[in-house]
Amino acid sequence: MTFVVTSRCVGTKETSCMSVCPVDCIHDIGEQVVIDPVECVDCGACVDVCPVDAIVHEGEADDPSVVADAYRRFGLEAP
Amino acid sequence: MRIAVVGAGPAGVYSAQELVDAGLSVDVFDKVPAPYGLVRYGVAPDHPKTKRIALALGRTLGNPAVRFFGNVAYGLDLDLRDLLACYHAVVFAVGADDDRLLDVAGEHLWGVGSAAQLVSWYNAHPHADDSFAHTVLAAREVAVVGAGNVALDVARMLVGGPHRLAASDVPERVLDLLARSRVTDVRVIARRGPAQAKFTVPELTELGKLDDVDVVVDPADLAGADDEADSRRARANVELLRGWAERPTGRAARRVHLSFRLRPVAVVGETAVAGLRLDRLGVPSTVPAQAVVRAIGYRGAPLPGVPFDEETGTVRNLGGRVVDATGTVLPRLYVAGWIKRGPSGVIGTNKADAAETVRALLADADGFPAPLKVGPATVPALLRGRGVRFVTWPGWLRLDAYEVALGRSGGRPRVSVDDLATMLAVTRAGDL
Ligand SMILES: Cc1cc2nc3c(=O)[nH]c(=O)nc-3n(C[C@H](O)[C@H](O)[C@H](O)COP(=O)(O)OP(=O)(O)OC[C@H]3O[C@@H](n4cnc5c(N)ncnc54)[C@H](O)[C@@H]3O)c2cc1C
Ligand code: SF4
Ligand code: SF4
Repeated sequence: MTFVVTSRCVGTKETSCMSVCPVDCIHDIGEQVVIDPVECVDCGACVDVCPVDAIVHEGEADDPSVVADAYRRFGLEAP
Repeated sequence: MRIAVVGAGPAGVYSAQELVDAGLSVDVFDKVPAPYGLVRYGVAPDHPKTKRIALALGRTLGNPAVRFFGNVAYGLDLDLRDLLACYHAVVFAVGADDDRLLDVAGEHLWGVGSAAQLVSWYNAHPHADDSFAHTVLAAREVAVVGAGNVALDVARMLVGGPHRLAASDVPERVLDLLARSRVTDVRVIARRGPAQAKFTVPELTELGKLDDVDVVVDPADLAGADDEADSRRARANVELLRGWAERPTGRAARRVHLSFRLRPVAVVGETAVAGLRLDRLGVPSTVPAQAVVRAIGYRGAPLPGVPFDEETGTVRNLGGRVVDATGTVLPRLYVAGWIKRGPSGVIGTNKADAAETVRALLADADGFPAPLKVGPATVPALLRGRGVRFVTWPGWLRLDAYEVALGRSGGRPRVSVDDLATMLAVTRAGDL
């Protein structure tokens, strides 16, 4: 289980989430940031600081393709 | 430049990383032989993923520009004069070790204690005392006062059953006692409403997934909660609570009751705890309990020689710079983490917090006294001269390997060692 960054981050990107991630697993890929699902320890710190509520728990994502994409970006299959 | 960081918890380690990134050398001290602060000694053992934060913190402490000195207590083994003589500046990141009292009659009774006592016990802190854990696990009904994740951690540990810890690092002693738990009902008692509870959504969700445990919520407690829920987290929490409130009471062997808007008034009992008297807007009630656990927050403890704000339980500071009661900056002294801002936020919060402190330190660095009169060998020599058996980073790595080996023999990833003598022997503390 992990947290995923939704497209709401695009254009808003201002990295508050990166500055609180305890394991530095949020990466800036240009148009938005992404979370490495292997490194993420599920602490939720990033969720609380995101000004646009862009980060959701994978179990709460409205659109399952967001989760699939988040895993695929790191060469993984969504569980 | 050389900087001392006191405390090897998240705030200390994140500070060390920021300092190293700026090209400085850092010595990190901790009063216990093992690093990581509450990541090791606070985070619940059934959250192995969160415990993995230690791996990230370990990368910093293993950096060649950082030296670790475990088993060295500020105020006991080293004082402010020592640190200011040997370092250009000091960052205190000592966390918040004390706990807040309920401040009610009967609080001194046998069977009243703090969540911190239980947390230190199940996480194998070398200074922990098992007696409160014995009392609590012999009780059938336990009242836990608090509305945060620590209250939920305690509830989960008390009724979740030891099988959930089979892959954790807790010592056998802890598993044995948990296996003999007589607790059937834990009542988590929150002063404010469900929308104000500080539970995080994953922690609250987890409570509903325990085997043979029913979560009991009174529907009346949820009246008006939707209107009060003004954040995503509050809305999600209220929704979870409603799910439990609307479900018919189950037949599980154990229960966690979550109740709200209750103010503890007194612990009742003759010599030992018999119950907790509560008040809800003038309406009194009493819940039966043979143990009462305070989980209403941690509190910083004063550091010798450093200005302390009794009201907030923190070191007086402005953005991480230590100040006295008049607001005047005390040069070369800084704070980070819980001792700076109080016990709030998650582990990651300390990263941005430490970054703010180190920014202040770096901005002041031009004013630090020029070359120190002493070299990097002075502190180890000083400690040795005082008979302090400090633990080095290679020493900790030995203990780390020892714990992993200990776990392997029992089919577990690792088992924590909590006996101070063993910790010092395995780390070969003091022989260099
Ligand atoms: C029970 C509990 C569970 C928690 N669970 C989670 C969780 O699951 N997820 C999450 O994100 N956050 C959790 N937190 C919060 C998190 O632990 C804190 O945000 C964080 O640890 C605070 O970091 P710190 O470095 O300020 O303090 P600490 O982690 O307390 O570190 C302070 C360090 O200073 C040392 N020290 C103290 N006094 C001295 C002295 N005089 N000399 C030398 N060293 C000293 C201590 O030994 C300790 O190692 C939890 C907190 C508690 C209490
Ligand atoms: S949940 Fe925690 S570990 Fe995961 S990305 Fe967010 S801040 Fe990082
Ligand atoms: S805080 Fe939110 S908007 Fe900002 S970078 Fe992170 S996910 Fe994107």
